[in-house]
Amino acid sequence: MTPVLELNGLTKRYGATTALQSVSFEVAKGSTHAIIGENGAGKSTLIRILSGLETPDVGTMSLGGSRYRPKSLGDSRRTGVSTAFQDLSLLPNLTVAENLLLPRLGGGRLIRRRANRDAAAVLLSEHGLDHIAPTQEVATLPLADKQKVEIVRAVSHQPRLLLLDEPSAALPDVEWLYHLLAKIRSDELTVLYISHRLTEIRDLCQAATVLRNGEVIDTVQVASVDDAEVFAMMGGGAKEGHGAGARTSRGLRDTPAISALNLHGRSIADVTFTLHRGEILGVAALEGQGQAETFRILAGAARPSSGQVEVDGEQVGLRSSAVALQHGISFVAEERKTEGIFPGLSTLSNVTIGSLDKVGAGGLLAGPKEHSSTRRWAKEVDLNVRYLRMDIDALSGGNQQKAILARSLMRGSKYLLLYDPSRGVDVGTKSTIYDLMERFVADGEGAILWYSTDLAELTGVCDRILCFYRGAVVAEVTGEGSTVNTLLAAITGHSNDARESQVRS
Amino acid sequence: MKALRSAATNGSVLAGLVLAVMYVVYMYSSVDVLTIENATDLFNNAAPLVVAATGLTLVIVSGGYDLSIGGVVVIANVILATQSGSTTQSGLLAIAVALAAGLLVGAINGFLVAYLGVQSIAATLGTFIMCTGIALVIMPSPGGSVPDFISPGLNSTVGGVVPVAFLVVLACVLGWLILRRCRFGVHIYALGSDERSAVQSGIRRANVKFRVFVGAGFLYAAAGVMLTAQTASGDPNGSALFMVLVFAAVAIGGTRFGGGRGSAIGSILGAGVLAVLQKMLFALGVSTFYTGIVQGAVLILAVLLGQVSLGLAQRSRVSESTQLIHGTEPAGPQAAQTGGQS
Repeated sequence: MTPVLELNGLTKRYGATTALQSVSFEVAKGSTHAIIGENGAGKSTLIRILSGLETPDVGTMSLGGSRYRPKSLGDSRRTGVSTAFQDLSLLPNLTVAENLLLPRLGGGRLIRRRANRDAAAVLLSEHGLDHIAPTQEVATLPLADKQKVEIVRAVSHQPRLLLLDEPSAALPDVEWLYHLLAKIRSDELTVLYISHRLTEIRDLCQAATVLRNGEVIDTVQVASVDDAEVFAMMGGGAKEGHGAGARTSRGLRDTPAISALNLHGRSIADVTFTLHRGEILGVAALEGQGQAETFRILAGAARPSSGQVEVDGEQVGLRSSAVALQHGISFVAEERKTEGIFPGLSTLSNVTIGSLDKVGAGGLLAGPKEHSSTRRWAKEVDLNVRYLRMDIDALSGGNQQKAILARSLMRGSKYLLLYDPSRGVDVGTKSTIYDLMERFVADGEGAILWYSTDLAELTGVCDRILCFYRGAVVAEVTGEGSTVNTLLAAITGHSNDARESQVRS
Repeated sequence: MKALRSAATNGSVLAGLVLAVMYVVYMYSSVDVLTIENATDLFNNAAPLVVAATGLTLVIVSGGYDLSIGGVVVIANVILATQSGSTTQSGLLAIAVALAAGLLVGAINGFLVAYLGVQSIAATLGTFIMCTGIALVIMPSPGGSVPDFISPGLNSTVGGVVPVAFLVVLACVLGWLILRRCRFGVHIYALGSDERSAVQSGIRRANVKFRVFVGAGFLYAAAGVMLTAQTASGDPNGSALFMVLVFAAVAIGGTRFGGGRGSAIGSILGAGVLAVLQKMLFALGVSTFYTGIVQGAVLILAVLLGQVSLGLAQRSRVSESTQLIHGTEPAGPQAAQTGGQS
């Protein structure tokens, strides 16, 4: 086996974050090679570098024996590399034919529309997509067809290295993809297959490289490892259980706080679950599995196409964030910088902005009162009171997060929806957040729905954990019975593995 | 049904309808509307707006904004008023210089936006202000004159039948139709729709943006030439209102601010609406003081109309495709496979 693609010590940094850390591996000519990793493992950065959209800070690549350093997408294409992107690079306002033939669009400067249409029709029918009309605008296609067109476009450049970034993410069945890959298979074509679905990787790939936090953990022969080993490599093994340990002593609560009943929406289908009072309910999922929309619906920021939400056992219409707040639901959003803080205001104002009626008098803000009543909440979240007078921009991410939590507490919300509050904050703040959550639900009144990308902290803190996959709750595990590996299996669509560990109905 | 829906959501069709209605009102409110003199007059009024709106549409469809219109138009105007002498030859030379100035300003805009990454509003606002400054240097106070070849030349007819201004408008329409069939044209729409995807599709972003601004600059200068043919003199301060009307024409034409959707045909019809409106109000005996009020109201109504019909069309499309979405629901098979758990 001769390597066709070699990566040597690729490193890429964006500001303070390292996306790739001296990544090296080889891909055998004519093989289908998988790249596996969790969110943020560096898969997409790698794809962008190989496609010529980014250049590595350090490191070299070689393709077919000669140095490979593309400066643009056009560069990489001319060298015989072609990519089907995960975020889909089709233009919704152009026709299928135009999209397929970009950027050259056949002919010279003037486009021959009929010739283009015919060429596109041939491409589509060659790949089993006869039901798509070349003249159709891409905006009108269902997501699965868009994904297929994206893949066909990449294949149509007749590359020697084909990059498929999560090609099955939007496909309801993978048969079409299997068929296509079987058809184009040749000794001259090498495929890099990025996916988190082990079944597909077992079916299609010979070798796999596992990435974690931008580093290569290992490159293995797919046939020689079992699923558990792969999950262990992806997740980093046994670091679960950190955070609060006293978690399990709390009994099961049965007064419903918030119930989601058969919610349907743009990215979710039939999501049903109940959050009980006194409970911390975790949500585990890879990016884009419908958890974001679920949170936004419960926070009144999005509307379900069908289904109901009950708060305290009564059906409510969460028309807006203000209505959700009136029902005692407070949402701490993912994007702290854009959705959470008000930059330019003091930390004090950032805390009190949700409860100005409590600190003011007759519509005017009463300075001293604002300050004194805020101190209590600052202490509650372990935020040093001297920060209150400072501009919130000057605070670290962790302290900003504490201020946002203090705002929700001060407002007197009963139920918190926390969307990845511990991402990008330091370890100390993380444990403060865990303590705070524990205290918040300790009285048996409050309840927390908590999404985290850190599976280990979910297993350590939650009473129960819901696993989202492809817009549905595919598994529900108890906090004490869960490990990172069982969660990882469930959220990547391998629920059978998760079922072994106490799935309750 | 489908054809009807696409017509209803097409800004050009809406602008065309508005234009037709106004023209009919205008026809009944005045005698001898349907004469060659009257038509020539109408095209003369509309031509500068039409040419500039075509240029602005280029930029807006590609996802940018361009505030340098007023600056380029006024520079072309003062160049003609001061440099065009009295012969056809000197007039042609001055026109060439004016067009070159437009290309230059467009190239500066394009360089700033495409290669230095300056936001298009900021870059073109800067060049607009600079251009008005330069115009004052060239011509400190209104005045000047142009040779007969420009005025009344460009305002008259060819052979007593076809207005020159009509040919100019026709050139804009044909030019746009050809552009739509060019590789460059598709790239403009792609870029305006989603820059990231366009780049991932292999489109050279900077190159396309640069050319868009250069082309637009040229058209603004041409609009300045047509405007000068009407005024027959120069005015270094008369550009702000014109620029606002150009934006209004584009908006009435249904082009989406933000890029990716729209057409210069719509903008040209929008310019026609504004021109006919003026005539119509005059024929109805409405004082010119009220023109602005009505123009603004028509702009808002036209855009509102476009929005409402778009909303209606989308609603019917959604209800039609609900079945389609549910057929391909990503969670379908998975939920069934792991069913009975929750």
